[in-house]
Amino acid sequence: MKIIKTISRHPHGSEDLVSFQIPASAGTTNFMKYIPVIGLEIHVELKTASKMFCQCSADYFAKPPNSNTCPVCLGMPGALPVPNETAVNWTMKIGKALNCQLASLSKFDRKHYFYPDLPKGYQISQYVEPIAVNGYLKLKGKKFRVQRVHLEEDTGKLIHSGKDTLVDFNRSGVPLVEIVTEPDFDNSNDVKEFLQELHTIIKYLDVSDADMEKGSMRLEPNISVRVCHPGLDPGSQKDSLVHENDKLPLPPYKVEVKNINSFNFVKKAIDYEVKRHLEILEKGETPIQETRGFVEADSSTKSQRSKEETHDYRYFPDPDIPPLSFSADYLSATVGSLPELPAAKTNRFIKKFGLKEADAFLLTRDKEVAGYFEKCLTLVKGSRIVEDLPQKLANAILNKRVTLNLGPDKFVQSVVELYKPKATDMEKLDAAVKSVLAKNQSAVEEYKKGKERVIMFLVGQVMREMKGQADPLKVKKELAGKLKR
Amino acid sequence: MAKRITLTRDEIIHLAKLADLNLTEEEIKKYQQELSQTLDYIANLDELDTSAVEPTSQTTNDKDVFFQDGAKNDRLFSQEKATANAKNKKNNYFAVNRIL
Amino acid sequence: MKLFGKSLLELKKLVTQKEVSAPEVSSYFRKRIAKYNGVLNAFLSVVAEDGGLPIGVKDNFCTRGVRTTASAKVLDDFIPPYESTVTDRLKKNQLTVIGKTNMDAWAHGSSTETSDYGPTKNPWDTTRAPGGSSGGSAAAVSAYLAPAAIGSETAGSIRQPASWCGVVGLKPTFGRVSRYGVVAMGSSFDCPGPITATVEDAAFILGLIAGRDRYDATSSPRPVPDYLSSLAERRKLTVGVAEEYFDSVNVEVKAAVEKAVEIFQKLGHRVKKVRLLSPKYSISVYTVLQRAEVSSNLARYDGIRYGGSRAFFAAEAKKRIMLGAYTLSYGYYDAFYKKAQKVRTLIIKNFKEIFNDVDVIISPTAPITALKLGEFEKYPFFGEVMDILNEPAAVAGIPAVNIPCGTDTNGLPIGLQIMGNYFKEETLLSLAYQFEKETEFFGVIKKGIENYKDD
Repeated sequence: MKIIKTISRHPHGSEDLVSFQIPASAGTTNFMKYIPVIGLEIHVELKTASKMFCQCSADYFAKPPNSNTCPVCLGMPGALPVPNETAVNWTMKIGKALNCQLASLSKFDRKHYFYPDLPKGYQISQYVEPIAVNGYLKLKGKKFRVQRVHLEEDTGKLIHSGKDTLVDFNRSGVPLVEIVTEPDFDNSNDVKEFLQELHTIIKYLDVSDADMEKGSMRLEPNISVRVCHPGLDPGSQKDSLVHENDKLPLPPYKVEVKNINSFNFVKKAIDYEVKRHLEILEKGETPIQETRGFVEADSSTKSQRSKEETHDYRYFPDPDIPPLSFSADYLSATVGSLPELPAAKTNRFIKKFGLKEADAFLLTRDKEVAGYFEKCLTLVKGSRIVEDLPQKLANAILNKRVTLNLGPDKFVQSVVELYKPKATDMEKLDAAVKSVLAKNQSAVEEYKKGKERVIMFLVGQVMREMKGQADPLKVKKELAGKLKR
Repeated sequence: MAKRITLTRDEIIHLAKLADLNLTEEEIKKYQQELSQTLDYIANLDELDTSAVEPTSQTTNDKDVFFQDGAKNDRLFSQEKATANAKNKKNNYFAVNRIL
Repeated sequence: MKLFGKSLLELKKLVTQKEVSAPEVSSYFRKRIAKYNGVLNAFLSVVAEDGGLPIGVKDNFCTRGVRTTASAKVLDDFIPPYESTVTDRLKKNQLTVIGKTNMDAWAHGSSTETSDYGPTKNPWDTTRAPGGSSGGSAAAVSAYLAPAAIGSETAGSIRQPASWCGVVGLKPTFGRVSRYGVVAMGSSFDCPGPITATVEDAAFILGLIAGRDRYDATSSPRPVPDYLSSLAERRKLTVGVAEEYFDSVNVEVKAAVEKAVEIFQKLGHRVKKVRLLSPKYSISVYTVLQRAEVSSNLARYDGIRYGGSRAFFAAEAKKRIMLGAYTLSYGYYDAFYKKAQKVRTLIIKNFKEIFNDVDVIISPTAPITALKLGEFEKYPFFGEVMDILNEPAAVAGIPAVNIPCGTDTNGLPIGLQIMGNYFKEETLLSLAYQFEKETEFFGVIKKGIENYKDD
């Protein structure tokens, strides 16, 4: 089998696994086109003080087994849930940050299945009326739709040991937000970027540690590959918005890869799966619908027995929990309390401070760093000592040229020190300029032919000769004068 | 719902699986009959027009009952209390036969 | 000190006046239990703990450190590590759980015969069933093995056994009394409530256990009135009587209730005919919703954290779990569950409309008096038939009380129920109290106790 990778239409990066053309059968000129169809389910544990439906601590990490439970989260007979208001509010914030419609009426449902880590035989979740629906995230001109954001409770933890599976319910009942996207992704790079952006947003909202290693953010891509038959022109479909995809019928199967705990692993899992599906499809078969697990050792996936033969969760509204209603005032107060989100901050940094786009993006990946940057700027307001100081501060932060352990005032001082015009010994400069021009005749020739940018190279050489003890602007001026002659 | 519903053997087995119950052959037959009877019995619901009626899942009409976030230990179990009723436990974990 | 036949409040007064001590009272009842429980099987366990005045509690209330089985083998050895709100409030008000009473397993039934620990016998005739599911609590009060008891009702489980055992049984408004710590049956129906020998005791106990509980999100924040002192008001009420509730009712039962209606008139209350939706719709709504909730509520019994495995479920529980799983299953939810929820709305609307015209509605509690043990197996829908008149109030979530109103030719007690509007327990109790003062329940309660003398 020969897989021909087509040129990606992805705006950034040319090596993406976007689509493949495979000869449909030997001897024909018709080509089948395969396009991956990927959706995401992301679970985020909230960092509330208490659990979702009881007041046990939500911080279960590294506690002795079953030392953080009560009648409610242990699923004792007769125990009843009462919802945590903050968890509901934070779920709304996540929904809003993902541009969702917030529900004015919401409720909790029971989702039934049996598993040893699920103490009640059902999980309290939201099915029919989730807290937020129909959102999206825009990344570099592409729109990826968010189907829903809902709130549920986490399960206990299983440890497989010898002949036993051991159960610890410390985590049981910790508030868990599930974010479900539409299957709008067709490559693993977009997925990774989406997840990174989502992670940044969650951190900005300050509602979760979103720590993958601890499992407080868990990722589950579901993957299939669409076969586009000759006649349909997938090329033109690709020109429209990504979510136009769902006007095409979805592939007749879907493979879910469970509980992955790194963005790179998600990417690898998707790439592995897409390749696996292609091989199966190429044989004229359809991959089976199943749940798989990611195998770190060789970046592959392997089939897991799914929890239920069929997904018949027998949802119904939890009679223990009265419905939730949100007034317009409540909703607008929630929206009003959102911090400036990373995308908005990036734009503002570009517009207000004239930062390069890439730098503004990097600087806003961490709310603390972005805040540090802004704090620095307030301290040098009106300063004209250093040209383009915001960009220079940004560079200093991003390149770690000055340690961030300094307080912002000291940091600003050091950066100013670094960039401020140096007192220049004009005699030494004259000698250095002459020496550099003599040593770099070819550069001089190029300059004279009109390639004026070469001068920056020469400035660099002079600065080196001066051991940095010169004002680069003066150096440039001196060089320009000499070259004209 | 108006017509008589007969549950097949496979349906009963599927339901038993969903409910995590083991049924004997006799029970399967019995439930096929009893569940069908019950479904007949409740068929009178179709006599009432509910097209414009909202479903009731709470008779109290209460809404928005929450607690304020904050960890409290007043109901916290010690490890011993939490596991005291378990038939199988190991080092304060609940233990079941290995499932994976 | 002769304690025999004294009501809970009378005993309380004697203790306050230091005529007798609370431990003496407890020990007195423990002796009576030792003497008669062998015959009646009303108690599954007796608590050897002295504190306040004794009260019997149905075995589906979690009691810390005291075995709680809900009469089901699955929970054979379950010792709750926590306390239900109802028993907690009783304890804080100087009442002590003297023992846990027998019931239909998981409260599934109307005869106490589905108990995995054998049926309770009706104290009026030990070849008969006490009704259920709170049969143990009703029998205990009827035979004076406890001065009062706590039951729980999903649809009829307090009123129907109270009727068959000839005692007072109050099902409060859903949400009036916390469900926290009560082994859940039908979560949108379940109501704990008192079973007593006097209306005053019922009012007293309701006052102790009612009110908002921060551990039960469905418990009502409405203030709790002083039920006991409001009994004295002797309000004149409009009493609704609905024909639909007299269809297929035994003639003797019908006659006794009709006689009671005359007494209400004599007491100056206005009696008014009303039309209500046929109770048969309530049965269907209840059957669908309750089975669904049961199948969900029993899912936690997996034998991992407590109790035995799911293999221990007996036939009745299995059947209910199966039906609930069916009606909630993909493809059937709208046809059954949602449809039933909508009809529930209609039933609620119907009651609300009627309560614009009348203060209360009265009807027989059960269509017949106590059946022989074993009879229930002959009825495929035994519970549905026995509870037909109880289910509408349960479905709507309104309060209702059973009071004795006579005996039939077999010498078995007949009960009538008074249904009221949401949170109008004091209205029901007021009418019941006036009836009690006027008739002394035709001596029914006294007669029941007399069969179980001290010596």
